[in-house]
Amino acid sequence: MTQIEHRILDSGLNLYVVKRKCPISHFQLYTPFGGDVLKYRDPVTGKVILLQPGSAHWEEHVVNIMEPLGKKGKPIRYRTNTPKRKRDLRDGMTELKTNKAIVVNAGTYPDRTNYWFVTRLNPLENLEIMLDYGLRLYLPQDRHKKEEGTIKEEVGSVENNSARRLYDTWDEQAYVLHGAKFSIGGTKESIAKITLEDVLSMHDTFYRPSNMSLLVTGNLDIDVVAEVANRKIEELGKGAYLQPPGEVSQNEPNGVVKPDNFSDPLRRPDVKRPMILGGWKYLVEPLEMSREELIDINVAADIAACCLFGTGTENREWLISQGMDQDTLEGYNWDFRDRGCIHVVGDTYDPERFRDLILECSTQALSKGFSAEEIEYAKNSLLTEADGAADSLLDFGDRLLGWGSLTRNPFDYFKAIERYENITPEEVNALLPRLLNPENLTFVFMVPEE
Amino acid sequence: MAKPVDPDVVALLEETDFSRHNLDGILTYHNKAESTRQVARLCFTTHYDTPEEAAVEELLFGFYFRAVIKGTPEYPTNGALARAFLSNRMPQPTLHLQRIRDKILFAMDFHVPAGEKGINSLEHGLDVIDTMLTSPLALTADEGPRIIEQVREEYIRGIEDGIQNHRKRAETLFYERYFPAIEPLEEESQLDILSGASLSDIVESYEAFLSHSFPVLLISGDLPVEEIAEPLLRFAEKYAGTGDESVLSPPEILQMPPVSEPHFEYGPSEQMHFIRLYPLAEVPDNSRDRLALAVVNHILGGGWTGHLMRVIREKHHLLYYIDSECQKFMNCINLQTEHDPALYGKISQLTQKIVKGIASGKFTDEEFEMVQDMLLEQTLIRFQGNLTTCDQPSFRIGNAHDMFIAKNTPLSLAETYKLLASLSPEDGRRAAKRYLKPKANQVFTYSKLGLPPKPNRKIRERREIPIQFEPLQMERLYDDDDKVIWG
Repeated sequence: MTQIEHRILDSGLNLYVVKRKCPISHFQLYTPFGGDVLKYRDPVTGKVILLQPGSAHWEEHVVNIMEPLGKKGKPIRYRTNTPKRKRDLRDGMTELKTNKAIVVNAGTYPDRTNYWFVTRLNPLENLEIMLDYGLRLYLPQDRHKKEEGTIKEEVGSVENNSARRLYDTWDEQAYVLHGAKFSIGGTKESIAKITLEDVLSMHDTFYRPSNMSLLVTGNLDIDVVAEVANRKIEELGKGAYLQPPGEVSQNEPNGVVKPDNFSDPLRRPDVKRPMILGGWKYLVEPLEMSREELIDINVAADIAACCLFGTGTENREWLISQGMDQDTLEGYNWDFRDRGCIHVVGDTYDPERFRDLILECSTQALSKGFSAEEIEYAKNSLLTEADGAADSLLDFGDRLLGWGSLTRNPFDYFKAIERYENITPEEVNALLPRLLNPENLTFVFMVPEE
Repeated sequence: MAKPVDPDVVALLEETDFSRHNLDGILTYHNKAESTRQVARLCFTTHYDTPEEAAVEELLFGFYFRAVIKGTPEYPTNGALARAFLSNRMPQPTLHLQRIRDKILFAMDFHVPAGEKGINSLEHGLDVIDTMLTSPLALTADEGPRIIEQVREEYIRGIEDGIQNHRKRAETLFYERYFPAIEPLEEESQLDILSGASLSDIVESYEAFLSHSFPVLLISGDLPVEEIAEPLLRFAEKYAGTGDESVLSPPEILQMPPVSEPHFEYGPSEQMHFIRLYPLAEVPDNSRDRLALAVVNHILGGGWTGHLMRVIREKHHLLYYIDSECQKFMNCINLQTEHDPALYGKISQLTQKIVKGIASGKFTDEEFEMVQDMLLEQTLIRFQGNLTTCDQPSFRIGNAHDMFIAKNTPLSLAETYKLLASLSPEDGRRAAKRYLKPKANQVFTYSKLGLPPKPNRKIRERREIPIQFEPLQMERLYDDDDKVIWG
């Protein structure tokens, strides 16, 4: 039986520990400030504040910067965390590596930004290092200017990837108001507009302990972790509880910006044959739904996507028999805090036919539902995948983190596994109108430039 | 000064060791692992006369397998085959095809529950694969021609679609030009072979592969070897060929042609993919030097903490990521990145400057020891796609494959750990000065036509330096040529 414990520290930091026999431990410090978040409610003024696309990602780039060491080998004391310039800056990831962490990284997702490491040695010291750079921002002004160059390079690299462009274009077509319509990294224009003051303000707002969670998987006791975390947070001057920023509904309506781009497809020189990405966005209101409802809709979406497109399903076999390309046809569910999308992708020379087939099978699903047999198969497929992921420390941690973003409680992963097992066909089918709403369907066609 | 050996780590690594057995004539390696899963890998290896021949056979053999997984009379589609497993909450076996120079390796991986339940799962998996091999629809008169043509088209498209992955495309073109033993066939040749392959060609290729193959079985799990191996041995005996253990020899070290002026390849990439290769002055003739070089390489370009990242990204903000690899089977250190083409000159100057510094031993003792510590800890994990830890059967199988089948490393993990711990910064400096000669390097770029970089005035005529190599035992390699064709 996996031992799981949760505690809320005085500062408001949510601490989750999964005790697991393993020679190494996995630490994840995350904030719900992800790429989708382009507005929030200021906890003091109550005003809704707007952000530039790419803000969360910009923040991720600079969070790990730390002040240099002084003559005695200790961090310098400073009056301002934004001096005009400073040499010999440290960075948190190198500090962790120096202190024997094995793998260190960070990532910005639509609904979270996550800082993590795995370590065998010095787990608690390394936790202190991560809390230090995660909760406290040190950003010289010249460094802020220079980081723009690095971020633009990353954006360039993303734009150079045809698959990423395909998915980003789908988001642009699908979302009317939601922050998801912008790429996580933002654009070169929006990046240039993010000022130092913006970065400082966003850190203060989204990286306060009450807005963050620490998820630990390994052979550690929650009491020990909590004591170290509490002490460090106090030392950083972040011990006082501050109200977290309010989540603001994105008020994304049903309906899409445009149902397709067939008359003006995406043209790329690095694509050999036409391909299409289609799918439904579905909307979730976490501020109005219970955790059980959130779990159910995400579980049902996974099952629906699998029933429609999963390997071995009747519907997929039917689509292939109708001429869809077997080799490239794929479909899956992506779910995030307040939205999700069921995607289908494949090579095709006939996007209209592709769309017609998708509409046909989804209409069938809406009117008759998926059969109990297909739902049972989909559940087994998903559970088989989950069984495999549970063996890998990182995969397991990723799954917990995913649920931590969806419902704000990573341990809902275990409830989700139970729901995969006991959700009934009737319950799944009852949610299909929400998941496969034809108004929310859009297609992006990408063709070779010539 | 040598680092103290951590007995806890040594104990953990020794638990990853395998015992060798000969069970009914099949070479078997077994490891005891307390885990919720057991992992077994049955690998057939066949040697060919030349890398070119192996590359052709790899295509044809791959063609054959892509065809047989399309279905059997009992499971008439690929989907039905998958359903045979997933409907019972059993993971599908994974089939891998890998070519290492003049050898082809065909491996089947089984991830099954611990205990007796695992044996049932294994037997089911082997039955399905046996059916696929003995009576595939692809060989029937009714369905065969359609399946063959479908697979041909899919396979050809898969190769053509390589143009979308700019990094991989750059690497492929690089290998074709400088290391043809790794990529002996250009894309056009591959497409010609696939276009012209007949059913008898691909069947012949499959039969020839198996008839000359040598099987090896790797198992990590909780059951005694005789119990868990039994169904696999029956399968191996049925399909094993006449090959012998000599086929499991380490790959030969390749020789880079004499370096020359930077070479610019063009393709539809807006970003420039930059590869810079530094052939080592000689082949390291002992494991100590090889490991010292691995540490030096990590100081140079081992991810976030390497000099390349610290200078080019963190100080100059010119790119997102750059790293270096110590490619032992190519006897070189290889840098790779992608960047704005307009920055070519700057990237070229900075990379050379950084490598020169490392080659002259310009790193502190502290730096060496810090990286040494990192690499010592990294012996406990494998990070290829997903992260596995040394207590997991899948980690152990991967490592056993490197040691016993691909023969990439003569040392066990515990031996590697102890040797790595015994290194001093002076070993690192000595290795850097002896093996790294920055003047001899080859630049290769891949980017969009019409955006050639401006000539860099600092690039002078390169002196041709003939390099001679002797074949030696190998260290751990990367199996990034491993292709999963099912599962």
